[in-house]
Amino acid sequence: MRRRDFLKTSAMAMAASALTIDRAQAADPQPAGLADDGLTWDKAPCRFCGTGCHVKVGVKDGKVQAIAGAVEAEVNKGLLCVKGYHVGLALYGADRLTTPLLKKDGKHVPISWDEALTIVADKIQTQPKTFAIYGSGQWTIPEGYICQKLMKGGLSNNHIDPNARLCMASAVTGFIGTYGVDEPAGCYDDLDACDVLITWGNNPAEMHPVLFSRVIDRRSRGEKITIIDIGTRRTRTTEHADHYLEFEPQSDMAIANGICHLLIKSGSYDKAFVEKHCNFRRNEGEQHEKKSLKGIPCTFAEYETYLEEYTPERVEEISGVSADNIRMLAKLFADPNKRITSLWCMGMNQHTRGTAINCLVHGVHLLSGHFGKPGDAPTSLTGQPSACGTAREVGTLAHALPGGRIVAKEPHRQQSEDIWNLPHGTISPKPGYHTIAMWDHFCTPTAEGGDISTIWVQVTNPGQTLPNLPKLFERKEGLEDKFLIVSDVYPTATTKLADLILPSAMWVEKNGMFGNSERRTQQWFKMVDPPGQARDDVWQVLAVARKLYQRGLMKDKDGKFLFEIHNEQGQEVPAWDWDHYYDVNVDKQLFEEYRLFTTLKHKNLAPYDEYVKSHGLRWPVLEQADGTWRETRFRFSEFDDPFVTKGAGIEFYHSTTGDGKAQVWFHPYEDPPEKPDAAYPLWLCTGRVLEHWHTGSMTMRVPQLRRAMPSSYVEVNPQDAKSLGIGNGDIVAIDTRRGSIELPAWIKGRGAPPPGRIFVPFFDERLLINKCTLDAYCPISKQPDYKKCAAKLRFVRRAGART
Amino acid sequence: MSPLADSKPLHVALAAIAGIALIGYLAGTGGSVPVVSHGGGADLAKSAPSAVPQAVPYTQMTNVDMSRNANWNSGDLAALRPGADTRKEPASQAETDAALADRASNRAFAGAPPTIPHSIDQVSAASCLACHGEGLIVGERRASRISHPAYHNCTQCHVAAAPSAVVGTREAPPSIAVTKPEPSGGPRANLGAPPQMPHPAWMRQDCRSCHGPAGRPGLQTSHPERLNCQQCHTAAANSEQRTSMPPATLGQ
Repeated sequence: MRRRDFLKTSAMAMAASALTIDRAQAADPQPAGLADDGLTWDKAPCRFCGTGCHVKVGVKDGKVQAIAGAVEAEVNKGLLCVKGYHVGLALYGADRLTTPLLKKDGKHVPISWDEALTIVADKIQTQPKTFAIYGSGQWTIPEGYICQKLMKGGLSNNHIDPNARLCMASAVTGFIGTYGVDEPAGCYDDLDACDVLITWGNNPAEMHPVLFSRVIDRRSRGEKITIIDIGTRRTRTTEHADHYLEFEPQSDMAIANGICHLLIKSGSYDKAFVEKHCNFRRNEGEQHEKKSLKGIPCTFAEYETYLEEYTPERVEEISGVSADNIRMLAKLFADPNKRITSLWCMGMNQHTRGTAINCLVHGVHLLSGHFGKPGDAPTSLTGQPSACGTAREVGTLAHALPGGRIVAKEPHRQQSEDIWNLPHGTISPKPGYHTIAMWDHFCTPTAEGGDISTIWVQVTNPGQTLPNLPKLFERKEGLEDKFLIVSDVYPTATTKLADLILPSAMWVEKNGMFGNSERRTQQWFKMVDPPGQARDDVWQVLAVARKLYQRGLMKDKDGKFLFEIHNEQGQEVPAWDWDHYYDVNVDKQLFEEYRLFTTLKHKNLAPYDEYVKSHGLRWPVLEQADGTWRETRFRFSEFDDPFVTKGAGIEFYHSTTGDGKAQVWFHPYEDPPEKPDAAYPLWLCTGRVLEHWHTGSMTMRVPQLRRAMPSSYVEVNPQDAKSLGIGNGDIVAIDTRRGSIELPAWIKGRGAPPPGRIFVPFFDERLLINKCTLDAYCPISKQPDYKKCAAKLRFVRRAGART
Repeated sequence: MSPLADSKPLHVALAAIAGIALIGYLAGTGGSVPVVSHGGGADLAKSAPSAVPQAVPYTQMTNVDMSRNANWNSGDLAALRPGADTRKEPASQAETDAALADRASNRAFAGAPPTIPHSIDQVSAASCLACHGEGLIVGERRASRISHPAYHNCTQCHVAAAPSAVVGTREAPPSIAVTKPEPSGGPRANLGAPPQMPHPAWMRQDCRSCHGPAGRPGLQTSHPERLNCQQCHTAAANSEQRTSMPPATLGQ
């Protein structure tokens, strides 16, 4: 059937069923005669990005049949984006995974859950130190928490890392390096109050559209907001910007230094703020080359000297942004009456100097005093719905423990062991492998030192998202002693190489909790059953843990099962048995246990039931005298944050220098590890598009979204296209030193790169751009740089020509 | 002077036109679309809608923006807006059924924002509103009037058609979704009572979008002169998300 025919038929079927159902309802004698759509509506945060919009989910006959923006939700105020409006359809792709599958003789064959769990338990029991879990910022909070406890507590194994390493690790090190504690001080309320919005290598019009609209819609109410887009290509965000400053990839560091240089030279930095709230810091070494999260202190005078060379003219040379525009930025920051919000996401995080550029942008805001007032905030956005809630707060990173703790600190390990009722010394002090190292070791033969033997992947698709796929994923094929377990909802690039596939429940097929970009913790209930034998990820881990318990593992220091679940009478419930999993709310119990971790770093969470009542609450959430729970919008600011000492105004109460001050860092501009040259003359940047979410495993199964953007493409500048003889739709090859792919060229497309640069989105599983990307990473955050590497373009064939 | 000599300039002109047409034809049949500079968009946006769009001379074809909707405000769109609202006969059931089937064809479920059934080049919200601000009727085709306050980023909610000339098309993914059907008419409390709204009013604050003169004939009201719809037609509380909590207001 042709696509058009299919759509037509389904539309007709839909219309026909519409009429039948409504007629039937009309005929139904309803004495009250009240209009009722027949659906049961409940709230849930959207499944996709880190914005954290709330949707209303309309359920009928056991199916999600409609979605509406939640009008009461403060994040989105009743609006959604194209993905959010269609989120319900993501559950109903016809190829959902519905039974456990084991690879036998190169084919995936169905097996029972018990067989599958036994295989996982065997792998863990026989290789407890070379087993790893690769998780996700899409893990719900309880999912991440149970995996964290299983690995670091149950197995004394720190090889657990989330895909969020690829996404926001540099934001974390930026916050910790500057404020001593992770996550933004501001929140989305800043978007309602700012006079100036600066997007640093960021395209929120497509990636966080609801937040971007929150700003630009103010213009239709007559407010004046200046939007400055500092980017490497024109995007839909640029269309709304007052200033577009196009910079040479990597040179954002020089721009930030240029602003600070001028603020100091002109004496227009905020002297009172700096005096009271800031220390200065740098990396060790003549050339600042010994990079660390801690660094060493420096004086203001030294800081001034380091900035000496970053004159507007020099910055223009490095960045391509005119000296006048650098002056314009400095002048804006020098104005104390303007409220300035900076937003960034992958452009600053996926950067081989990611920690540095994050610290530098915080530094610009601190030096100028544009901090701590509504509208004055440096705010990083997250790409995944619970990158903050699960990866960062539960601490499912190879070096972390829940609640902002790290494995390297003995008191942190002991606090965790106490909460988990484990003997001191259980948790290993040595960080596990971060994402790149984990996959490198997994894909390296054991004989050659590849000491990860089994990886259990949950809620993510590394076969499409890891950089340099030939090195970090595809090498797995044919390695007999390496075993890949994948829990997912659809077949993906990752399940292709999986030895064992576990079918998972998704989104409102299970209970869940997420934490969004503005510290907002959100909760939802299961509304529909998962298809076939698909089951909750929490249950999968719980059931494996129980098998291990029966073999003598997973015991606390009293010999009890580490994951005992109780009912309200305090009796143990066999929740590891699927038939009894929903006898109690397992999520609630795991969350209440996790909550105990959250007070150390003042990230206090409310009891589970408070989140049931709300559309999310921003931590720290504190109980008030009247028994209600109050959220915090502006951290470190006395007027809103209850942890700030009275009279301090602003206090960084987790300061790394212990004096309540933030650290303003100096980092010199440094060249990226790979730059265009004669052989590979173009900059390749990768990213996302509005219609698809990450690898498209969900959105490519929504007819409306796949129809809108059915295939990946490469954006090419007209000048480059002309010199290469390429026209719109022509198939071109992209070659890099890692790999090569062929895809259609788009000239003057969705985004418009300048000459010498190309852009490719990564959503299309048939056209894997990560075969080409570089696996170099920030030395501190270990986050790789997907935004720049050297590439060349080759014409392959004309549009429409046969292959 | 002979008639032949008289027509010589004409022949030259005809030959030139034929030549240019041939070149134009060949260029048009070439595999790839020629790259043209953007340029014109901003200027066009400033000019007031005045005249009917002019065809582009072949000699200027490489210099102008030929993309879709590029000249969205260069024509006299006012002439295409629906006329004064006047009382009319209620729509027939057949008209209503056709209108509902048509509605369902470009949205995922009842209540989903309609997908854009034509290709666009996103220039600005103004380019969408040129037609969709007040609604337009061109022959059989209707551009519906915007149903909600104007926002700035239309493609945030409305899925655009694919850039198929560039990236081609693909089969729709097989889906087993069952979606909320379009309601057909709201229930009445008793014979003769005004029908209740069978759908929420959220994002459909302007009823004229569907029920006014630019709406599909099967959905148009019989009494367009009455402008305070909710005086008589009540909204359904369950789908309006009315609970104990006060609604967050849009940006106030």
